[in-house]
Amino acid sequence: MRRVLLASVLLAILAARSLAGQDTTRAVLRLVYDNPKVRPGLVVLPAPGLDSVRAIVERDLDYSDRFEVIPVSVGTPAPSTPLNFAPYRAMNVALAVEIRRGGAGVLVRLHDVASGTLRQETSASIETAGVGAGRLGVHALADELVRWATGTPGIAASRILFVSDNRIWRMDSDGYGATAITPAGRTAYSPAWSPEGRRFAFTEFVEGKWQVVLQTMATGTRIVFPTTATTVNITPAFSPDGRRIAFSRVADRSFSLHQANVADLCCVERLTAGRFAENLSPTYSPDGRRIAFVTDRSGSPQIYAMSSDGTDQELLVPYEYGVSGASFAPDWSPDGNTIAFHRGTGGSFQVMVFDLATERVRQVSSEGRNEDASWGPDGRHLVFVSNRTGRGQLHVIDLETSRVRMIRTPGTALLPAWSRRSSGTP
Amino acid sequence: MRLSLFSVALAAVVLTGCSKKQPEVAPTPSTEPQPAAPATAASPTQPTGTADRAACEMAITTAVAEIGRAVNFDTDKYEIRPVDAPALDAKVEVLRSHGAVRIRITGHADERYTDEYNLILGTRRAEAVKDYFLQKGIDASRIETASLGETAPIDPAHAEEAWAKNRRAEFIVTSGRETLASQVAGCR
Repeated sequence: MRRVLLASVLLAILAARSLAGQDTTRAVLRLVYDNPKVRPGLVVLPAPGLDSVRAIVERDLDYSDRFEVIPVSVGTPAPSTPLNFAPYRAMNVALAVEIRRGGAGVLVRLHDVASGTLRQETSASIETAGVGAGRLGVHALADELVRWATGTPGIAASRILFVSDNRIWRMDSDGYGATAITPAGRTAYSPAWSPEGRRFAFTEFVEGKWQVVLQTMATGTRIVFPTTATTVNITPAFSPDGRRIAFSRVADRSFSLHQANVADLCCVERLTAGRFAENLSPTYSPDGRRIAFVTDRSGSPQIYAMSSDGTDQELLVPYEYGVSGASFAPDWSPDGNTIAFHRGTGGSFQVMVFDLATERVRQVSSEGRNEDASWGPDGRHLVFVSNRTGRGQLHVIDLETSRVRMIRTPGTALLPAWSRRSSGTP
Repeated sequence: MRLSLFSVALAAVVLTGCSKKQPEVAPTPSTEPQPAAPATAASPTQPTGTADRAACEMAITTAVAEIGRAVNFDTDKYEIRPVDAPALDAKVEVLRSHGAVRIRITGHADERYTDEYNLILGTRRAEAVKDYFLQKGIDASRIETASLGETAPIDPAHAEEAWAKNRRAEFIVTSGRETLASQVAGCR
């Protein structure tokens, strides 16, 4: 409570100063709400005629886990001009979002309730029905609101790929619009986004082999990566610059990591040697210099790392021999500071986060069996598979608040891959 | 549901596939006529001494079924179980006496281990069976291995009974099917 009041006072000061210039505003804003655990009260005001947009924005702000979103009671009148914040101050609301027609189409404003001042506004031409591809435009507005309030954009304008019924599916990050994007009758696995989100890689079972396929999102055009149609190739991953792809291929009767040139569709090189160990599930560091991966070279499958040219291979995530369970599916966080993976414990799998600076492992799930974690664009949310409801379903956890939400999908879901932020175009 | 359809399609391939050049595993239900030749229908032709088409087909079907019988594995293991040695030896006999036959062994895993690593476990299981055949003198060039991990369970239930069925290696004849009746008089 004291913290909230303090925040409001600071906001009043910064609102007065914001006229001085954008940079000052941002600097002071970060002082207030960049504490990732502070969740200021926020209300999305009634928006007559724009109910769908309002509903999406309100849910996006809730799913950002950066605010205590306070629902507006039914029958609340449309906001007057000028806005009357008095009733919201009594409810401990710090921020109010106003959505109305105006500007290029829809006008979105963020108000500081304590001082009663307009903090920031923007307008965009968006599909106001809130359906189909137009939703990404609404999500992008919500993400911008999060940035104004916290200094970091939200994660709503992003998508998740996953596997269900042996096909790759795509949906918006809030679970809307789940669509199968690989054909029925083929077995597809392990989807991975290209960094800009225009296409994705996956592996597909054909005539006893697993081939790496690159598919363009908008057109559905498929390219089978050369040399993969006649070999067994699994767990593809793009490098952060999109120029390389790493995957695991059977060589010398064991699975070995390889890297290839995506731009020229060529030049497969082998990164791990040895006949008696399996190597799989590569994930690049954000600077592209390192690759974390799974290998059982020490007996139990564990998380190792190497330079992206294959040199300098070493154990990355510590484990206690004979105590820590097998570890799988590493995903390097967008900020580079942590690696999510899952590890066997207590007869099940649990999602873990490894902090590279402190070398500490933190278990972030406990209910049911939890695996295949993938980072959201903000590096504080993870999507993962949990069977806590009885069947494998996708769940999203916010690591700062430990809030978890389930994304309902038609069937059993596995192997989620969360995109980076979209520019708002499909 | 689709998975069980897939299994049915796979069974259909085992029974009917490969009589033509390489109608590969496209898991769409086969529309080819079934070479159904029940023993009761075929046996009356036996006394004549000349095998007819149905008898040849039956011999082929019997041999394909012998090869196609799956073997199972213990949890998280890929070692051949002693109990499966007779079934594997029967396959070895068929392969020895029909040198043109080539097979693919596909390893499968239950859902309990982690999904992507199950592709590797399935591979290890297929390789273990292949090694068994090699030790018995079958040429490596005749045996291909593959893995479907946990993607194609026979039984989708989440229970030990289902998992035990799903931990398996499956066998299909990829070429030379038509030669499987070569030792029956009158068949080619």
